[in-house]
Amino acid sequence: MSEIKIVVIGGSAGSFSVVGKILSGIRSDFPLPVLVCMHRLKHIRSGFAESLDERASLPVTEPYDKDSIEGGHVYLAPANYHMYVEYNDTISLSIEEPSNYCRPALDNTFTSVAQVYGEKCVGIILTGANKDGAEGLKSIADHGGVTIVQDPSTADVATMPQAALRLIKPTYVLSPQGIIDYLNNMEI
Amino acid sequence: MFLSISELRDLTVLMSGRLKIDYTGYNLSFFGRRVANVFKKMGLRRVQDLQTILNSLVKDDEVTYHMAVPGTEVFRSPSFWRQIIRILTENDIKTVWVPSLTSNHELYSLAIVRELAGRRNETKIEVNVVSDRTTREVNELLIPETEKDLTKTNYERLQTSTPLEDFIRTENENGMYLKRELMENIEFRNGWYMNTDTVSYDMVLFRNTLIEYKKSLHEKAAQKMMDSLKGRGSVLCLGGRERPLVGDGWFDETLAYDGIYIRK
Repeated sequence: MSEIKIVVIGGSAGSFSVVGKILSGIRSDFPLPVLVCMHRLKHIRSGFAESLDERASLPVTEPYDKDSIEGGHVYLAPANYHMYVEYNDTISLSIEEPSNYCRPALDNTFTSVAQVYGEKCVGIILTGANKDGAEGLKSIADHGGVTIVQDPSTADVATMPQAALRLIKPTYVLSPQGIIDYLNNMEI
Repeated sequence: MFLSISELRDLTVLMSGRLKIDYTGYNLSFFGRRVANVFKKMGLRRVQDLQTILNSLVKDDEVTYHMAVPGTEVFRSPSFWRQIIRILTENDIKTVWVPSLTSNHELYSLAIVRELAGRRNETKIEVNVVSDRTTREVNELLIPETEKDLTKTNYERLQTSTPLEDFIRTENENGMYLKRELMENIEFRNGWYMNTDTVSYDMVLFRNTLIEYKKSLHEKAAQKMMDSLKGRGSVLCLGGRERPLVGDGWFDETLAYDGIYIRK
C-alpha cells in the first residue's frame, strides 16, 4: 500500500454535523493533514471553523493563501474561495469561477489533491444535495488514491454520495463511524 | 485539454514575452487552469493554435482577457466595503490605485462607495487594465441581469441609508446600467502594473491578485504595492485570505480580517 500523505473530506452545508463527528472521532495524534471542503454561505465568514475546532481532536483553521500544509492539522476551505494544494505542500486559494455553482467547490479541491499527491491520498465524500465532488473523487480514483463514499443510507441527503457512486466504484462505502474507524486504523 | 508541466512552462515564457505580463511568476497550477480557460473560450484545440495566435499577435487581447480571473461580484465581502466607506469618509484619501482591474466588479463597487462617502471630486481613482476588452466592458456601466440580485443583496449588507437605485440610470432585460457620472475622476491606463513607474497613492486596492502568484512574484508585487503607498495612514487592500509576505511590522493590522492594512 502507498504511503498516504493527506486526507481530503467534502460535503455540502448539511454535512456539518457529520464532519464534526468525524473530526471529533479522529485520534488526537492523527499525523496527516486533513483538508475539508464544504459548501457554505459566503457572507458568514466566522464561526464555522471555530465551531469545528471546538469539536475536533485536531486544530481546525481556515488557511491563508500560501500557508504550509502540516500534519495533524485540519484546513477548512474559506468562504467564497476555492482551495487547492501546490506541489510544495502549500495551500493555494483562488476566486476563479464557481464550479457546480459552488465556491469553494469540492471538485476543485479533490482534483488538485489528486494531481499533487497521486495515489498517496484519501478522498471522502459525505452527505450533500449536489453532485459536486463526484468528478473530484473520480480524479483521485484515476490517480490510484483511496476513495471513500458515505453510505447513502446513512446520509441526510444522498445526492452527493449517489453522484459519486454513479461515477466510480469507490474503495469503501462506509457509515460515518466506519469512516472514523478507517482513519484511526490506517497504516501510515 | 491536458498540458504537461513542460508545455505549461514553455507557454509561461512565450506568453510573458508576447503579452508583457510575467506569467513565469504565476502558480503553475493556476496558470494551467487559466490556459484551459483560454482554450475553452477561444475554441482552441492544440497548443500550436495558441502559439500561432501569440506569435502573430492577432487576438492577443482575447488571450489576455481570458487569462485573467474576472472579479467575482460587485461588493464582494460587504464588510470590507463598509470599512472602505468609513475610511473614505473619515480620511482625506485623494488618490486610489487599482493596479489590476480584470472586470467591472471592483471598480463599480469602489465608484459607488466613493459616492456614498461624498468624495467623487476629491478622490481620484487610477486603474491599470491589461485588456482593451475589459476597458470597453467596464465603460458599458452594465451590471448584467445574472448578477443583479447578488449585487442588490450585497449592497443591502453595506447597511447604508442610500438606496442602490440612486446609482442606477436604467434597467432593462440586459441588467442595470449605472449612472455615467460615477466614472468621473477615474483614469484608465493600459498595461501590466509591474511595468509602470512607481507613484504614491493614499490607497491601493489590490484584492485577490497575489494569490495567483508564486512566492517570488508575490513578494515583488507586494513590495511594489508598499512602495506605492504615500506614507503613514495610507491603505493597502488585499483579499480576506491573503496577506503580504513582505513588510513585516509595516502595517497596523487591526482591520486585517477584512484584508485592510494601514501603513504605520
